[in-house]
Amino acid sequence: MSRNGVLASVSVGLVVLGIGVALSGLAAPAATLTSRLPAVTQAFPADATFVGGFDVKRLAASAFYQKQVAARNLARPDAFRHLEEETGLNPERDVDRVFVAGLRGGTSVAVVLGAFDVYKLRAAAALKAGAKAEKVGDLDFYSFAGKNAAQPQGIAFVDQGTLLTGDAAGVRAMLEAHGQHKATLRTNVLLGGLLDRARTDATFWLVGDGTLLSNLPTGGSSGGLGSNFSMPNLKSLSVSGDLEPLVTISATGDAADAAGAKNLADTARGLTSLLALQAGAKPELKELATAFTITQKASQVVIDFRVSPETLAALAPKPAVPTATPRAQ
Amino acid sequence: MSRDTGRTLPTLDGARAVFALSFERLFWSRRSLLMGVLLCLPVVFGVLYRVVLVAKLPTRLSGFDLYGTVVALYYIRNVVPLAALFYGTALVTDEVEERTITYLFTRPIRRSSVLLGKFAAYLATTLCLVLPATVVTYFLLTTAAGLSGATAHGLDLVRDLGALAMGLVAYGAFFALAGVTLRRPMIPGLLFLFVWELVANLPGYLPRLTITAWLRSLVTHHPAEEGLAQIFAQTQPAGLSLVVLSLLAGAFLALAVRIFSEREYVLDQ
Repeated sequence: MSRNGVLASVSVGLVVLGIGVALSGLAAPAATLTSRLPAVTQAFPADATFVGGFDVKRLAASAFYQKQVAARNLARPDAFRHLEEETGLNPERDVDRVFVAGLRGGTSVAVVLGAFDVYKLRAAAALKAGAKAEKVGDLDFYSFAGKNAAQPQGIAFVDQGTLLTGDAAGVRAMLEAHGQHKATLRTNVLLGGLLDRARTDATFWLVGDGTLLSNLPTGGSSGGLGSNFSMPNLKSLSVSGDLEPLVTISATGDAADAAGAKNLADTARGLTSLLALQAGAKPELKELATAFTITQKASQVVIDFRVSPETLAALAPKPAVPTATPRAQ
Repeated sequence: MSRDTGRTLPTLDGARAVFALSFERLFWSRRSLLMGVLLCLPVVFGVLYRVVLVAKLPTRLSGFDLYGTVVALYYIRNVVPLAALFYGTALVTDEVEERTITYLFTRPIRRSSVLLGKFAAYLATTLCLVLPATVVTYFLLTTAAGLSGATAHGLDLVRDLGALAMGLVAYGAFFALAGVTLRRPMIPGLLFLFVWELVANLPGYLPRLTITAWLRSLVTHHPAEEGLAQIFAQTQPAGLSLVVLSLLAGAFLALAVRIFSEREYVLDQ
């Protein structure tokens, strides 16, 4: 082959390969649940209100997370604290990824993937107040009293690197579905569709139905978003984000109609305008206000947030300086 | 049975022979080196972005935004028309200035084959330079936070590659026509690109008389601009733009072939 032939072949090969890789995202949705999420997550209850995930290793390794936790400016995520209390796991050290599903009634179940000592965890579970061990299918399941006596908690060990934890009834249901190879989550058409489009390779992500926002506190006279503020009525919400190299969060909300979406977009723009107004007193808010991009397409609103870790660090509350106590004379 | 060397080759066979000869000469020329550097500059920018700029640029500017700016402002508006100007006008004028056109005319090939073969060589050369550079730039700029950044905009990449190819065809045909019509086509060509094509920024129907207005409508990137361009920016339907550009390219090329076939070239002594 002549040198021109070689060159033309390399060029064509590069372009075809590039197009192939770039378009691979289009083929992904059909295989989303089976290829991108662990098989056990398909046993999440069909009536889940939301499903989310954390790439704990990536989250804990990010400079932003380490800096904030080290400076105690940012508390560890509630999910981490809860996981440590319930199971004795140290998420930053032992866990690779966590997948959470929200259940009706405000409870949740989680799939935890990582490298942990199952024997120690079993022993810890057996020692909890009101602990009861049983077999569901051929897997060990422990239920025990939670903080709220009406909501017993459970933990089950699927294999050496996978455990289920959370609401006892939810964990039991998952174990039963998993034992029968049932993809119960797939029967939830709304969440299934959202999962197909979700960026589940992000550091953190979440997809949920309309109840996700409506369950958030809007606050009254005691604070929150104000008594006159009403949460937008959404059919679904998808959120994904990364912490490096920039802190990026993308939220997509599906409203009932275009008017609802416009209302939501206007509300979001209003809030960013309020931030901009306060920029006079606090200059770092100016960059924060410009970090939002709000777009509306028909009944869908997309809010992109993109800011440098330094800007967020500047906004975080400074750690309290210990006041010197006067020495007794 | 011996081949009749005096018999004129069919148009396509002749064009294929001229293409093989011209592609070799065109690609490995000083002109291609210069254009290669110009066309591959975004790749250098992509590397710079990944190594240095990604943490320093304004936080609202994503890698895909930058890629869109590279395609819309750098390639579509400037470098693709320039590449077409430098190659397209030289298809015939180089042969005339080097006095080698006589050798082509004395071969048993039609004149139309000569121009079509050379035009195909120009397209192959520029496509081999522009398309891979665009693909590499795309991946460098969009994958800073993982491969998902690239897969999220795959259709945009395909659309951009198509628009760039269409730009090379349309501008190439126009400048091939200029090359066979004018003795010194470079200055009028530059005036066309940097004076007439600015009409695309005006209001009303005038932008439809430019090539760039139709070409800009093929891509979805419309970077923020200042001044009149921002106020009057028009976008035509992509399907209509594709049809118009195809018709323009066909008409320019047909006219160029006709003029080239009938024109008498008098070489300077």
